[in-house]
Amino acid sequence: MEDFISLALKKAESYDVDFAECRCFGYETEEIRFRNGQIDKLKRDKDLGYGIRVLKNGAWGFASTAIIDKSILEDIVRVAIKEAEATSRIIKKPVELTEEPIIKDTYETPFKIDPFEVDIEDKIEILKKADSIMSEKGDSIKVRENSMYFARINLNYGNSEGTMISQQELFTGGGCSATAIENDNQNRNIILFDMRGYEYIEMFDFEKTSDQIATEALILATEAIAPKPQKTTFILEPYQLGLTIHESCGHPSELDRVLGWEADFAGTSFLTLDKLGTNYQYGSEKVNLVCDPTMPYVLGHEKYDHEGVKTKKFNVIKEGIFNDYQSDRQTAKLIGKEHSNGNARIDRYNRFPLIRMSNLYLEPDPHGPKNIEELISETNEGIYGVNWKSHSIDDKRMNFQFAVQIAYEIKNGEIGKPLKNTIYQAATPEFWGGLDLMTKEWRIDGHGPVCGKGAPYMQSMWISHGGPWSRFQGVNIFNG
Amino acid sequence: MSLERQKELIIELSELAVKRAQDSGCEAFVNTSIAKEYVTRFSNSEILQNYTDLCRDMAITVIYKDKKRINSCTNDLTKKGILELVDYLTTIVKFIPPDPEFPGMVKQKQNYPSLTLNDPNVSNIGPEIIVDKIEEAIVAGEAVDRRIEGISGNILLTDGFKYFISSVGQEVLYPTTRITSTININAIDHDEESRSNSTFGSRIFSKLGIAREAEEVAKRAVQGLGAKTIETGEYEVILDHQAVNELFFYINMATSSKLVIDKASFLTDKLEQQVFNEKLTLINNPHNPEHLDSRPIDEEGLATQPYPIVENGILKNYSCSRLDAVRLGTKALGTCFNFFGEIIGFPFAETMKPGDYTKSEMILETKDGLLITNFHYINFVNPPVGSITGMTKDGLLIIKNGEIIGSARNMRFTDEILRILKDIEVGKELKQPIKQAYDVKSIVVPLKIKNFRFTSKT
Repeated sequence: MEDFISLALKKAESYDVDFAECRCFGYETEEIRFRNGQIDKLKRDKDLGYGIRVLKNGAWGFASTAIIDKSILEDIVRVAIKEAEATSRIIKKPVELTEEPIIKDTYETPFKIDPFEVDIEDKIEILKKADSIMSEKGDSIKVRENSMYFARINLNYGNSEGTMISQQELFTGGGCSATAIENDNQNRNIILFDMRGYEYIEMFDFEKTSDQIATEALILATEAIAPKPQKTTFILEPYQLGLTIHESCGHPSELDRVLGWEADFAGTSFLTLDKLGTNYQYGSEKVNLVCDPTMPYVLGHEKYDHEGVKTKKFNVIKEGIFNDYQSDRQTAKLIGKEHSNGNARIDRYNRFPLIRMSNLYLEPDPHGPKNIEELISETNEGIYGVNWKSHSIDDKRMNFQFAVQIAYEIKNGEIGKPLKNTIYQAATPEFWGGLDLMTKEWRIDGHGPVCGKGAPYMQSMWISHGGPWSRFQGVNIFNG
Repeated sequence: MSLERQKELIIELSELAVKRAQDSGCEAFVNTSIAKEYVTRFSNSEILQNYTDLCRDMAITVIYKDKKRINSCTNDLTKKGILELVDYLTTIVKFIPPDPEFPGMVKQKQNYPSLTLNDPNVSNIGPEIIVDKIEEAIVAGEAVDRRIEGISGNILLTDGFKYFISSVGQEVLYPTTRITSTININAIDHDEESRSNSTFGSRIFSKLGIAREAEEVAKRAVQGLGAKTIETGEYEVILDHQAVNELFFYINMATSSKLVIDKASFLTDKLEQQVFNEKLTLINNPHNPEHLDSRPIDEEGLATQPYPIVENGILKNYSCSRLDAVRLGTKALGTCFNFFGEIIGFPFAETMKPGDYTKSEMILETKDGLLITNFHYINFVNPPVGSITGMTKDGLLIIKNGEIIGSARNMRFTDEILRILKDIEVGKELKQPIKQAYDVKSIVVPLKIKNFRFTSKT
C-alpha cells in the first residue's frame, strides 16, 4: 500500500495543501457462536478502504472510498479538497497540529497461531464441548452460548510530513454465557479478548470457563439473594474495576469531549480545562491511573496511533490528582501542549479519527494485600462485586450507576452469601475518593470492540482495562 | 465512479455470487448496498469534520440442504474477491452441523411493495450546500438569545441503492435517500451551562428544517438555565418526543425475538396479554415513506408488512427472524434488521398511535410536574423484569400550575418499564427522533406519566 499512499499524498500536495494524510484501513473478522447445541452464527467479514484527509485554508477535508483503484484517486483527492474549502467558510480558528517525529516503520503484533488458518471443525469442536459442559448442569440452564471471535486489522498510514507506517494487529476472543431459570431468571456471562493469535483460545480455557459460568448462573437463579439498600465497603475485581475506570475516568479525560466536540452524541465532561495543572483532586492518593498502549498483548496495545504518533505511557491521574488528558495532534495543540498523547484512532477506513481510550488501568499497590483472599480477610464487612451487568452515566460523566452480575457478602473477613441484582451508584470524584486498599496482584482484561463514540456513525473501539482488586469505602448499594 | 455505474456493478456481482453458490450445490441470497454519503460534524459554531464517502457492502448468505448456513459481509467488490469468498463459504457450509429448526430459503412468492424512498434532487448536492444548511442552523440558533454560546451537531446524507437477489428467483432493487441531523446547543450564563438537543431527519433534503429545529433547541437551552436541585421521589412527568423515543427503544428491544428466545425479555410469554395501559398502541409500519427506515424487503428476503406490536395495551406480535419464528411457533413478518452486523427481528419502523392531547394541553393540565425533554444513557438493569436506569439530559423543566416556570438539575431514574407506563396519557403530535448510536428511528408522540420515579440526583 505504500506506493498507493505516496501517490495519494503527491496528488493532494499538488493542490497546495498545508497537510495531507492517507489511511488505508482493513479488517477481517470471523465469529462463531454455538447456542443450545447448534451453530447460531458463523460469519466471516472483510472490509477495506482508504481515506484522505487534507488541511487547506486552515480547515479539514476528508474523502474516502472502498474502491482501491488508482484511476479514481484523483477524484477522491479532489473531493477532499472541496470539503476542506467548504469547511473553511465556518471555522473560527485555523486548525494547527503539534509537531511530531517523522516515523518510518512496520509493526506486527506478536502471535503464535494465525486463527484464520485454523480449521473451522476444530473451533466448532471446542465450542460443542463447552456447550455440553453447560448442558450437563441440568435443565435449569435454559440458554447456553459459547463463542469465538477473531479479527485482523491492517493500518497503513502516511502523511505529507514524511511519516509512513504499516501496522498489523491480531485479536482473539472467547465468550461463555448461561441463563438459568429456577426461582429467578439470571444470566452469567464473560467475554474476553487479547491481542494474540489462536493460542489465546487455550488461555481462555473454554472447559473451565463454561463450567464456572453455568455453575454461577445456577447459584444466581437458586440461592442468591438481593442485597438490602446500604452504604458500605465495596470491592471490585479487575474486570468491573475496568468498566468503572472506562466510564468514570476514561471518557471524561478525552480532550475532544472536554472541548465540546462530542456534545452531539457522547456528551461533554466535568473535567474542564481549568482542572488541568491545578491539583484537581480526582480521588484518594492511592489512585494512579495510567494510559499505556505500549504494553504488548493487551487489547488496547498499539505502537502508533492513527495519526502516526508513537504511543506512550502517561498518567491520567497521579496520586489522586488529575494529571493529563488523552489527546490527538489538534486538541493537544489547542491547549498549548507540545505533543499529542497518541490517542487518535479510527474503527473503519471511512471514519475521521477521534480521541479514543486504548489500555487504561489502575496501578496496583506494592504495599497492599497480596491477593483478593488477603484483601477480603482485611475487610470486616462489605460486598464483593464481579463482572459487568449494566451501566449508565450522565453526559458529563459524574453520576454513574453500574450493576454487577454476581456479588458476595463479606462478613468478618470472610466471603458470605451470594448476591444477585447488585447495583452501585456514585458521583465520580466521591467514588474514587473512597479507594483505600488495593492488592499487589493485578490483571488487564480485554473488553472487546465495545467502546462507542462519535456521531452520526458511532465508532466501536477495542479497549483493555484493569488493575488490582480494589476496595472502596462508603458506596451506595441497592438492588434492581 | 458514478452511482449508476456502481449500481450496474453490484447487480452483476450479486448475480455472479448467487450463480457460483448454485454451481457448488448451494443456495444463496445477497443483500448489497451502495451509497454516497456526506457527513458534517460541527461544534461550538464551527465545522470540525466534513467528509464524503463512496461506500458499498455486500452480505452473502449461503445455505446448504436447507439446514446449514453461513454468511459473510464484504466490501471487496471485485470479481476475484467475490468468487473467492463464495468458494470459501460453499466449502465451509458443508462442514457445519445441520440445524433442524432452520427454515431454509424463502421460497414463497413475495409481493414486494413499491415505495418511493428517495430524493431525486440530492444527486447534485455537494459540500457547499451542506455547509449552507449548517450556517442556517448556526444563524437561527444564535439569534434566539445572547446567552447562546455554541451550536453543535451533525448532518448525514445517504443516497444510493439497495439490491437483493436470491437463488430462488427473488430480486428487488430500490433507491433510497436519508438525511438525518442532530442539533445540540449550549447556553451560558455566568458560570452556568445548559444544553439542549434534538435529532431529526427527512427523506427530502429541502424539507430537513434545520433552522427551525435549531431555534427550538436554542429556546430550550435558554429555558434550562437557572436549574434548581430537586429531590428524589415520584413525579408527574411529560416526556417530549426525544425522551419517548429513548424509552421506547427498550420496549422495541423486548419485542425482538432475539431477546425473547434468550429469555432476556420482560415480554416473554406475554402475547395477547394486557401488558401496557390501554391507551398505548404501537404499529410497525415499514410502508410509510415518511419513516426513515421503511423498506420493501427485510434482511432475509421477506416482503415487509405493517403489523401491530401493541394494540390498546395488549401485546400482539414479537418481531421475529424466520428461525426464531419457528422456535416460537409464530410467523415472521418481514422484520429482520441489521443491528450492528447481527440480523435480528426488530420493529424497525415503529409508529405510535396518537392520542387526544397536544403537548401544550398536557402542560396546561399539570399542576405540579416536570417536562423531560431528553434522556441520556438509558440501559437495562435487569432485562427479564424490564428494569432500566438512565439520566435526564439537560432540559428537565419544572411545571407549576400549567406553566413551565424554570428548570431542574439532571436526575437519575431506575424503575421497571411496565410500572412506568401503567398510568399514562398519550399525546397528539407525531415526530420522528433518532436514537443515536443505534441509528433507530420511531415516529412517536409526547407522553404523560403519572408516577415517574427519580432515584438519585446530580
